[in-house]
Amino acid sequence: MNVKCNRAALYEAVQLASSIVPARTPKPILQCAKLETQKKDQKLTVIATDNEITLEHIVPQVQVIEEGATVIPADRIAAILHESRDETIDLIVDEAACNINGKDSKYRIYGHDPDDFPTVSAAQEEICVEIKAVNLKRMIHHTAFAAARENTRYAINGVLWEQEGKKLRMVATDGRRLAMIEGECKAAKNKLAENAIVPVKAMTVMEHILNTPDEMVKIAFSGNHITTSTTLAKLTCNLVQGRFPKYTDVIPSGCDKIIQIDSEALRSAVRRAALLTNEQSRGILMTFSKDQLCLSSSTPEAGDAEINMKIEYQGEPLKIGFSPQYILDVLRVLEGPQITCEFSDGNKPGLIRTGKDFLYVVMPVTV
Amino acid sequence: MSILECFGQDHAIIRLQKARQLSRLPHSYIFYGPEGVGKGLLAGQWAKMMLCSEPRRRKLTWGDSGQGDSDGLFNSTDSTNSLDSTDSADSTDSTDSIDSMDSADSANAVDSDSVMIDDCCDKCADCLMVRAGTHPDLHKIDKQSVLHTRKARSSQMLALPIDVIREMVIEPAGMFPSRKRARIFIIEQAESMNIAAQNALLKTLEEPPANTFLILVTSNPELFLPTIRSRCQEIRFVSLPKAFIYKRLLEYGVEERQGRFWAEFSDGRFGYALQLAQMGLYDAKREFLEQLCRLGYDNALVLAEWLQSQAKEFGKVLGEKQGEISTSDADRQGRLFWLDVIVHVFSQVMRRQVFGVSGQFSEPGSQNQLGQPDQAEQLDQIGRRFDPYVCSRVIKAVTVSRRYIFANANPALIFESLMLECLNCARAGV
Amino acid sequence: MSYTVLARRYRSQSFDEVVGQDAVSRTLKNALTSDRVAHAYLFTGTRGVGKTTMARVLAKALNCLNSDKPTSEPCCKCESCLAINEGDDIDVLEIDGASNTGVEHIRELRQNAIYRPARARYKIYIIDEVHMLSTSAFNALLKTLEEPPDHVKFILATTEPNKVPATIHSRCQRFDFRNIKLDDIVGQLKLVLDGEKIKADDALVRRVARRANGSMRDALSLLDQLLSMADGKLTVELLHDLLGTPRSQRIVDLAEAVGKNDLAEVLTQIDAGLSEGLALDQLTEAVQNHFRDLMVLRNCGGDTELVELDDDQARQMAVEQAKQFDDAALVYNITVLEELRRFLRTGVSGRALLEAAMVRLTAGQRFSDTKVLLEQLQNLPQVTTASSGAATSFRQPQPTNRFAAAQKKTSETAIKPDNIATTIPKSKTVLPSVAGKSLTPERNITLADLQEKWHDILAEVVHQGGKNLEAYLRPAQPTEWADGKLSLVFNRDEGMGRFLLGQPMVISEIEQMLGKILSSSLKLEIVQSSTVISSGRANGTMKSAGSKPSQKEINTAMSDPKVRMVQNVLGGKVVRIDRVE
Repeated sequence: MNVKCNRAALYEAVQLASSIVPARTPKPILQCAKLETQKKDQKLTVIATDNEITLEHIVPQVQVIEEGATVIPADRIAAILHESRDETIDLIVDEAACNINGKDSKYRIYGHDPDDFPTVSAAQEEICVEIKAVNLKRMIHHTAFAAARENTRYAINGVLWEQEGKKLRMVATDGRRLAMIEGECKAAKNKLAENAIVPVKAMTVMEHILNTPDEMVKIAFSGNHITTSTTLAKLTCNLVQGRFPKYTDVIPSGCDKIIQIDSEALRSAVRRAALLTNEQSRGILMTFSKDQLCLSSSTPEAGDAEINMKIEYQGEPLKIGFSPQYILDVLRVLEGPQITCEFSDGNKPGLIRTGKDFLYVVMPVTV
Repeated sequence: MSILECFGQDHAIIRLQKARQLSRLPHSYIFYGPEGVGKGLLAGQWAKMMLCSEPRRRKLTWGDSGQGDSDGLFNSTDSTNSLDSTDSADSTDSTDSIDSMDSADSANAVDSDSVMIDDCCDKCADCLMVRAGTHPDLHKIDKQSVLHTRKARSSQMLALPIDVIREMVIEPAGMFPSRKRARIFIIEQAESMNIAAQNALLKTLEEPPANTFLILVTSNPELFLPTIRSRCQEIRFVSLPKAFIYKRLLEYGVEERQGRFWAEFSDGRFGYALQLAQMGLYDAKREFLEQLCRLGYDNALVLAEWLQSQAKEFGKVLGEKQGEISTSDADRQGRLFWLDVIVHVFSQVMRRQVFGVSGQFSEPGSQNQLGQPDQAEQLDQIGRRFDPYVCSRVIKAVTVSRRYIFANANPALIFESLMLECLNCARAGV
Repeated sequence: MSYTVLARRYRSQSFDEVVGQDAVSRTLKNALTSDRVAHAYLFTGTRGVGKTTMARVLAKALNCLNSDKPTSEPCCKCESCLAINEGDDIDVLEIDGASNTGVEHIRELRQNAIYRPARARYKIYIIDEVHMLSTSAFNALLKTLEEPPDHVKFILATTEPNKVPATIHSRCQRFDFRNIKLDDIVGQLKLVLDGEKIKADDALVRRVARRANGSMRDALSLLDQLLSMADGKLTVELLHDLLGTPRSQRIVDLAEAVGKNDLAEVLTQIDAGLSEGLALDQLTEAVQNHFRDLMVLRNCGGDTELVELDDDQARQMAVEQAKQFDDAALVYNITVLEELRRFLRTGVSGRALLEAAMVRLTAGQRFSDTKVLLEQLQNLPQVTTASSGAATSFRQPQPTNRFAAAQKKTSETAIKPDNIATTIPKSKTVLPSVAGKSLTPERNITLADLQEKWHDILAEVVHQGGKNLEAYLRPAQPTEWADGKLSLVFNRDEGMGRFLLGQPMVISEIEQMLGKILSSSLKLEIVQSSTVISSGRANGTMKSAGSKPSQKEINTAMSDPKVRMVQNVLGGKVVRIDRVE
């Protein structure tokens, strides 16, 4: 392999690759990135995997002199590229090692046999959905936070992707709250399979590769994997096993108390009320009365707090308790100035909406 | 490498294959049997076949003798219909199968010959990755794995802790396999999982996600919780024939006479035999036997001290070879080895007296015999002072010593008391 | 490719289906119909008796969406029931107590408990293996367990209730799940077999059920393994193959060889068994069980129900075989094999151990019946004088197969005098002159016998429960034996003699014990030796005290009538002469 490439572009690709390289693994080859060149397309691809997620990133502005591949430690090459000041560098692979040559520098790095590098299934994926990068990014942002972490029920450790005509829907839950968002997409002739659950880690990596807001991202699906492709990057990831809970059962219907609240004011109020919660009394009590919302919390032997804020509310008085963290979580990801809260009574789940495409269900707590 | 190289474990292979052919492959297996008879090997090769994208049918035949007792299983099943599924496959292979050598004489040997097994192709991308140890769906977990957990710990731990199981089995088990076919976990020395780890594994063992398979490999399944064992199917591995071990040892460049002895000594554990043969212990063993012939009150303690120093030496060599092992553990292995030597000697002495000097068996076990034992003359000399009953008493005394070793008793005293016990048992010098 | 094990596929779905736990089912159903469901349950019982299954059924009953209140007949069709079956319902949380042992896990649980259920009536926590929780975790659980929110139910399950603190016990309604009865297991196995459309021998089904020891999962798991081995009818043979258990005949043959004291045959049988692929531990266990059966048959008669044998023929054979052994020998055999099994369990590669143990059983009758030996001793002089021809047959055969031959000759008689006959004379050629003083020692037990058999006598002391006494006697040497008085010399270096002198109670205890063993009352005399005595008893010689014996002494010794008798009758040779002070 012999290739001349732009240092900054290569560095960017390698950096992304190192973000999925596992810190500790019994298989040392996983801590490497595979660099692969193709003469026909004048293409240099950086590949990294942690066995669950595989990222292939194309480096633009390269001049391939000779085809080939090499597998070298990702952190090493990232460090070299980071310190280098050169405009371009040469990667020359001989039998035993990879040479990285700059204007005044020469590195020789020993690597693994490229054939040993694990690859995910080579089967051809069929493209199911195309979606604007900016939309996809927003959808990820609005759901990934609500998924469970390290739960023994595997299915809820990921985000459910569903396609319905021209809509792509993502749902995440950890059993106590649920976030759901829908986005416009361009449907291809294949349908996204049911019950496609994408692990949260893959979704965060995905966010990183969606840097060109207006490009169309191709999403392909093949049984066990989901593949997201942009112009430069291609992310393949294993799906989570298991059945995602039937989320429609969880979303409350028939809520008669609908309240518009200013999200910034609510955030401030919740944060202040949460100051007097502790492990035993995790909840804050929200008391809705005419044009008034009172947030209160108390901790035995410590004291109690009461925050009042003005709202527009005409319905019956309502008392309901929530975990402040869950309210703050959702307020952090929302963009609009206003949210809509819907309740039926104090024992039933509460619903928060913004716009017409996002909703958030949160279970009340006993305060 | 392929399944056919897991020599001598036909019974295990046939059981796995049969379950596969009947579509009754369970999710969780325990592979158990003596150390060094190929449990881990078969686990790996089985996984390779399961992951292989183009598994092929081939005959289960071995390239050399020792067909032995493999056909117990098929003997008992209704052999006419037990393998109907393989008939169609006959045409596909036959070039691959190695010609069967001296097949056994009975009718069921024919059955055994016609056993068709699935084996990996050893060519596809999956096979290459398995061979390189990089296959994304094959997870091998052993004591060293603890180094790679999030809270990396030292490898000197004796047990396999819970975080290894959590991070390397339970978590990845929740994902679909990367390459579609299956996700396989092989836990080596699984008995070293501590109680918490074993308990943590229960749920996954009982209800693993689809296409997830676990193989627990152990030499001592008694250390598993009953709840673990009742969730797994157990497959027993048998000791390998001595003739086979002998042959393999020669292939590894072990000298003929030594090879014969270690093959005899190792009790069917090839891994153990090879390790010992490569540690150059043969001369020490010869010297020990010479000394034992002259055992008396004047030299019993000297001999005990010699044994003790030999055990240390063993530990040193082992430490150099393995690196990872702690000194005290290595020394312990050395002491256990010398106890094994003593047991072996007296067991030989016993057999020679019971069966006569020729040591010939007329019974089925005869193919297991490698002719005259090493240092037969010395054995007979010892035999003049130790009748079979007394030999059995010495062997029992050794088991007591073994217990002392595990209880961390003073090692010097262990050998001393053992030598004196021998002396007590022995008849007066001839 | 994927296969779901029977235990999972045939998990019971309703209260009525749970096998063998009728009492629990009934109580729970009553609680449900009368709306008196407790907020916390503790299910205890061994593995595989239905704890988790019952917990899931209860959860379904509480949360079934097809009913507007808790019901004793969950529909098993609604979304909630289906999800509970899979163990991934959003409101029924199955927590693995084993992997969430820490207090932080329980805190988290407590925080989660305050959230209301997402769609069903109750938030139900099923904590499996609850005994694994740490103490602080238990304490953290206490409060929640006592006063949980109305929407929360706890079901704790454990195999080891004794490890669950009493404070937890008292806050739960406890149900003890019984081991499932053999017949219940058999019934369920048959149901499963029908479901799988597989035929099986009745005997096999019973054997499988018996091996399961009351655990349904064990039984199903064993059945699973059998199913994966053959596609035809399931037979008992298949089970033997699977488990590596020996066929009954092999065991009978082996025991026969032990009974006949045929060492070669014993070792050959073991060899044959092992090369057939039997597992060491299974072989040992089977032999042990066989000896147990023989013991029971001897004592309870041939048609006792305490012994389960394959058929009448096997029973007949066993009864015959039982006659070859006496109780002491059988008890000894069982003990030795039990010890062996313990060793095998520690992972030792135990072929040599097994062989050694069997050799001990075979040649080892000399240990088990000292009384019989002594009777033999008493009869010996008569035998030898009466017919010296018969006695010569005890002469040492050719050394090569001495054991087998000697034992074959004597095996017809139920008791085996060969040990005394061969060992005493050959190792002890010159009797100490003390014995010569009283030529007709009481009851014909000579000092020489005592010295020779001292080891065995001590062993018998242990055997009769005198382990502590044996410790006193171990350093002692019998030196004098006349008129019911036994002198024991203690080595000067041993403090034991001096200690014993001050312990009349102990001495009289020893006297009683030895008296019982030797069947004659005796008095003890403790002598603190002034010289160091060699402990070389097993050599059968005592170090000469003093100078070499003179020619005159040698002549006296040679002309001693007993010495001459040994020479004539047994073909003894004078090897050495020691003088006893």
